Amino acid sequence: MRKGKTIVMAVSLILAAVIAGCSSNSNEPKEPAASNAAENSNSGGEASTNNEAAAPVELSVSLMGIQDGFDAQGAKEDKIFNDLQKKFNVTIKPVQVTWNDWQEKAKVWAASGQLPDIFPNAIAVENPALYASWAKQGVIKALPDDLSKYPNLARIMELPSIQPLKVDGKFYTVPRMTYNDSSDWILDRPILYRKDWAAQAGFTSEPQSFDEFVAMVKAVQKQHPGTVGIAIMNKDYLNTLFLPTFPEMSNKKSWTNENGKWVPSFASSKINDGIKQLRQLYTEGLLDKDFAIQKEADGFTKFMNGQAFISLGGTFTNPANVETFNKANPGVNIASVGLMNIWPAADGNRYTFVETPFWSETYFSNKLDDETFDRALQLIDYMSSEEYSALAVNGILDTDYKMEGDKAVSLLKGDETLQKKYPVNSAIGFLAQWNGAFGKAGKAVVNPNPDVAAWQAYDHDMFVKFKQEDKPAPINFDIMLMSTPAKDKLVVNVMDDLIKVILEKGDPVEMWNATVKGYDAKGLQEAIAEVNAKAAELGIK
Amino acid sequence: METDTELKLQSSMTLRQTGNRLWKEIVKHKYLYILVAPVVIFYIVFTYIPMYGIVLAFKEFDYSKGILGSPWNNFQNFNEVFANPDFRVAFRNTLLISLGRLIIEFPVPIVLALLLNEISKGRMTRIFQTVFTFPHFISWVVLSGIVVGIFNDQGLYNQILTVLGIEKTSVLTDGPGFTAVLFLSNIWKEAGWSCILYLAAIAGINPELYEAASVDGANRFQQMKAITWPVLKSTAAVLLILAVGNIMNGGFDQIFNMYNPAVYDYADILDTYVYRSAFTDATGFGFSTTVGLLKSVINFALLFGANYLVKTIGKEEGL
Repeated sequence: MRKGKTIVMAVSLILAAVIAGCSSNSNEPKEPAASNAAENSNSGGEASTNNEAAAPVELSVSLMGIQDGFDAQGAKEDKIFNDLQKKFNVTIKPVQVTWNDWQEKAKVWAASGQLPDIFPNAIAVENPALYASWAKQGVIKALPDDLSKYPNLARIMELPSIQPLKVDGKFYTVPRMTYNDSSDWILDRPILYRKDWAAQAGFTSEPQSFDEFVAMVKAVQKQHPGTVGIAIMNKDYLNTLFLPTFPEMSNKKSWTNENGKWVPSFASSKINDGIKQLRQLYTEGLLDKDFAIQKEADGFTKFMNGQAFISLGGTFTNPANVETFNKANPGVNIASVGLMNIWPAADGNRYTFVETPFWSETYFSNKLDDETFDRALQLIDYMSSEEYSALAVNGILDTDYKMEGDKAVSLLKGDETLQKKYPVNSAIGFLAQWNGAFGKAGKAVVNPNPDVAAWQAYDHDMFVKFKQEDKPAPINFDIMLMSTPAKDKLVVNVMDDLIKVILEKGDPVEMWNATVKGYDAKGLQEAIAEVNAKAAELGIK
Repeated sequence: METDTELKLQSSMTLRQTGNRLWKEIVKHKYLYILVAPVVIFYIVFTYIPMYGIVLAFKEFDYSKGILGSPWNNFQNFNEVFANPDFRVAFRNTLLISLGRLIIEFPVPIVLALLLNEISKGRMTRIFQTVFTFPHFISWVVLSGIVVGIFNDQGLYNQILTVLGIEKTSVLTDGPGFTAVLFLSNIWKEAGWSCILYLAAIAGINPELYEAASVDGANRFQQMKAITWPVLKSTAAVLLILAVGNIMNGGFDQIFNMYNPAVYDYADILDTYVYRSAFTDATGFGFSTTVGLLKSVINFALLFGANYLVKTIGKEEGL
């Protein structure tokens, strides 16, 4: 009998241990960590602030690929990162996410009460219903009303395009700035093309109309049989081709004013010409036949490998891409690749892609106590500064680069790279911002690879040219970011449905109209009604 | 006449006796119970305890309050699910694809096992069996890449069509074409593995039966029909019941890795729809739990229905 009791107890203990192991963390606020960040730092430590006197704090940070940086060779000797930890007296504990699971993991963590202290995500704009829920349900922490202690954050949170992110008068997020201005997104939707192939086919200048564009692609494909005419980086990049017919639709989240009424751009009749053009490009074999079944970046890979004439999306600021291009196209210089200025719209203007000046946002777990939260905000504030951008993009002045006039020139030798020298900093360098403004201001170090340097210079010149000659797509961000119950709840997969219409055989406009009609069952009309009512209330026309 | 108190006393004594007997039985076979305990614990912890999450189908999930603390919203999630056109498409696709799997895929391992059994040389049987079983060990992630490689615009399939002078087609973006690829690729991957159970059943047949049949002049087809098939029938019946019980699982791994927006109308099943709505769309966990619950209830009913049918019509042993 005693044996039986022992067995029952043993089984109960195992069960209790397993259940306890599976249970979530407690909901108690996080206490400052006992370990000393400075002890983990190998840096000489020229950076120092008042935080050294304060208690050390451990901050768990989730970011795409962060663990890779911590696991890389030389991670412990990463001076920039070690200085950063010392400066704020923090120990950063990496919580790995990848580009494939970052959205899902945050939701699972939120549901199980295990959110990291700091985590970026794209919720406020892309899933405003969830953002509002998390804010109201106490999942994420509200920023203090007075941000004067965090000057960089204060500057960002005052931008007009950020104001719609308030929930009940408070911000619950810090946008991760991409550029200083919405119109600086021009070359994030680039049209890369092989200038040498175009010239061989008799096209030495950019097309001035859709018909010329079609003629050019056809002529090139005739000379290079078997190649793809237009490849795409991912499905959202298809919208670039709406710029001449309906510029607002280049951003699928946008709304447009049609006869005095705000409607989502995809529901506007102005979309029809663009849809017909996309169908034409597909049926005539100009658009990559596999664009719907390929994975992210497959289209640009085709372009790098010399298998495509045009790529909607892609860049050669990355040395690895230049190397791939050079290997696949022997004897061809990267200068053979051009950035096409899209043909003019009916009003004579050429339009460029615009987006909120940020992409994705930084969130803080509501479990942070005030002291830890303050340190987290200090960290994000610093990482949002130009001083940190310089460290993230160029490295340490007079060690990794030097200034020659207004140009930053690399001092890296041989196969030295910032990624190898500062692996952790390279992995977390884009935690608070994307450092795009720093690059667009021409402050990024000139790459030691001559091909990459040449591309950087060309890219910058074209950015300046497009910015001068073209007009930003006229998107009203107040409407786009507006939050109303029905608008937040409206879930439609515009790109998936657009792809279906491009691939099928019936009349594309009729098919699209039927698709949009189907959105009524998902609450489209309610969303339109609410947005127009709120716009009238706020005086937005 | 017995009083109520006497009746209650009797029934309580009977219960106690039964409990004692059960406990004695458990103690007697304690080692068997210890042996089975980890599996039972596994199911309790990972299958039964998480089942409380289905209450979310009747609640609006509040991240701060958790599953049990979230407020009830009665049948609002069900109303939203039934009103959603994407759910109706996914529901229809799940039924059609699963039915297709039953009709097209289910018999293939049986036929394969019968054919392998007819190969007289044991070595060749093993070689064929290895060849057919191997694809089972390739994950759908890898296999989907191979399938896309075969059927893309420059892939093997279109190159053969070009050589034959036939116009290229985009099979993977064409609904019916994609469905055919779904069935074929699953047969290719799983038929060899699934036929192992049938081969095991065949291996249990007494060879003397075949010898006797041969002496009686039965040819190989007649032997297969009179000896092999009757043995396989009960195994097939059990597997059929399980397959029917699984009918609302259209094969998430395969479809999720292979499908694309162009074929959602044909290939989006409830599992892929739930995944998208829970993790990539803005719908909440309540919505996706409701879809999952509906799926499970239908599966449950189908499992019992199939078991009943097999028992009554086929006179085979059910589960």
